[in-house]
Amino acid sequence: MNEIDPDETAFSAHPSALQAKLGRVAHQFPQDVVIAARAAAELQFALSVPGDVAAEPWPPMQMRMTV
Amino acid sequence: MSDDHWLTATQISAAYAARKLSPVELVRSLLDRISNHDQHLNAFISVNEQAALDAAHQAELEILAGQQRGPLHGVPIGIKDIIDIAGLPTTCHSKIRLDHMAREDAFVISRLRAAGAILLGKTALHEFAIGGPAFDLPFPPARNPWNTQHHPGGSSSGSGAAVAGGLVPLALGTDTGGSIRNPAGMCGVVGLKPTYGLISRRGAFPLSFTLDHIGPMARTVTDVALTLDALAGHNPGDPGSLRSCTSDFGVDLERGVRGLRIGFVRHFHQTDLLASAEVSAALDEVARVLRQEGAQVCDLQLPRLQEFATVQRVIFHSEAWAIHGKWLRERPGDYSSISRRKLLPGAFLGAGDYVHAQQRRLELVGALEDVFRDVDILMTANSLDTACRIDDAEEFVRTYSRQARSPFNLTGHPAIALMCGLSSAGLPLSVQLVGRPCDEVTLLRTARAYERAAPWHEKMPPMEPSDAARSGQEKAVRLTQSTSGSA
Repeated sequence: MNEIDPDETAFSAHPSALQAKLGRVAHQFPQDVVIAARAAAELQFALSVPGDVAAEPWPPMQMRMTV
Repeated sequence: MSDDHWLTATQISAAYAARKLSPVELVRSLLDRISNHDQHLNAFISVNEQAALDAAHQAELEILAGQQRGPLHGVPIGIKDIIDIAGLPTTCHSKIRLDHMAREDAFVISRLRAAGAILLGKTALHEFAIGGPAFDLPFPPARNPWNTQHHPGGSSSGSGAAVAGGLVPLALGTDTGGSIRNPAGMCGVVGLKPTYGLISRRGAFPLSFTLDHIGPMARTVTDVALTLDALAGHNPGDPGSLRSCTSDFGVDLERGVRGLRIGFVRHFHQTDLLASAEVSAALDEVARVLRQEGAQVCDLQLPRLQEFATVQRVIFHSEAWAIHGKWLRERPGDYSSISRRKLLPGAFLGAGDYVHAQQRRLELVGALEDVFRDVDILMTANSLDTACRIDDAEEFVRTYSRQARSPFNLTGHPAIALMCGLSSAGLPLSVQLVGRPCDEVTLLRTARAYERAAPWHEKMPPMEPSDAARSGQEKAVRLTQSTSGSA
């Protein structure tokens, strides 16, 4: 597993961890939170915007005909 | 010593019909085999010994009375312990679910019971089908029968190990990013992720609603086909369940591949990521065999593997976080470290990321639809490396994402993994074939044609216990089942 820069563990107090209500897990497992936040940031960076932002996302809403 | 444990489901069914084998005899033989070998493999979390024997007695009576229900009647099967069997715990291999008890059968369990299959036990997995080989959980991780020092793939690790190790002829797995095809490939068996919705997911604990699939694992393509026949079917209680399906998926199994057009997605493992030399050479050999059998094999271009992987991961993390967020906030220490690290990214993704990923998903589905206008089957790498050592956490993290499976969870296309060689270290190599939506018939036909021409499935693992297991450092912990008659 990658070693984490000690400065990065300060991330546990980062607003986005608190906003995600990760106080307990950030306190107990700060390295896991740092690794996860980094992974999410990498995904957000890599995710390209869809060619048509107005396109219906998958799966489309379907009406339930139960009556 | 009897070799009954290596019989395929097809052979078992034929032996029952010819009165050369009885279900009770077979179940007893497999229970002995589990007793002798599972202390080294850890493939099962629980074995339903009494219930399996009861079911075997019942099957025996029916078969002797000339009422053989079909090819799965009296055939034992292992169930990944993320799928509900009424009256048994569904632990998901996690501390979080140790006190869980299933009240109803999953849809697939009802289908298996109707087909007369015998539910032999619940198989080990990566925690919640997401973690990895972890040593800080209530149950030890399953090990690879080809070399118990190595990982068996995952997340359906116990199902792969149990089938490859001759502990059971069939097993069910689940697949959200490749979790059937990975252990199938690492353990040298056959694993099918069917078209999304062909097999109802109802009663399997979800990981990612729009990516989850249930599918069969077996030692032969024929066995996978007949298990699929039993499992497929519309379930009005599952919003993702397909309304119409074929009922005989093995109808073309022996038809060969002459005239089929197969697109080899070589860039997945030669440009986008670099497969090991042995994996790459084995895939070239598969292409040669398929050409020799009469298929037209041509190289084909899809979007980059990383494009698929990014979109799949954003969706997976978002959906999995919706399920696990509460537990992770309240009981983080009850998850293995590897699970926490794989589940927490969902906390940092936004709703916009998720919707964009679902929009990108449709664009990628469109890219596959385009290529399927020109070919009948796609051929790709499965894993880009062979199984790493089970205790090498760094190598596990490095190699686990080096795969070409998750694109087809994203698009929903059916995909099958099967053995195509042995590495110099004696570990299985595998190939992945992908079909059009709901065209499992052609997919299984192609897989069977390869299997017939290159019978790697006839190779059995040496089943030598590892030093660690031999020294008793790691003892399999099993739940004891006092209930009978529930299988």
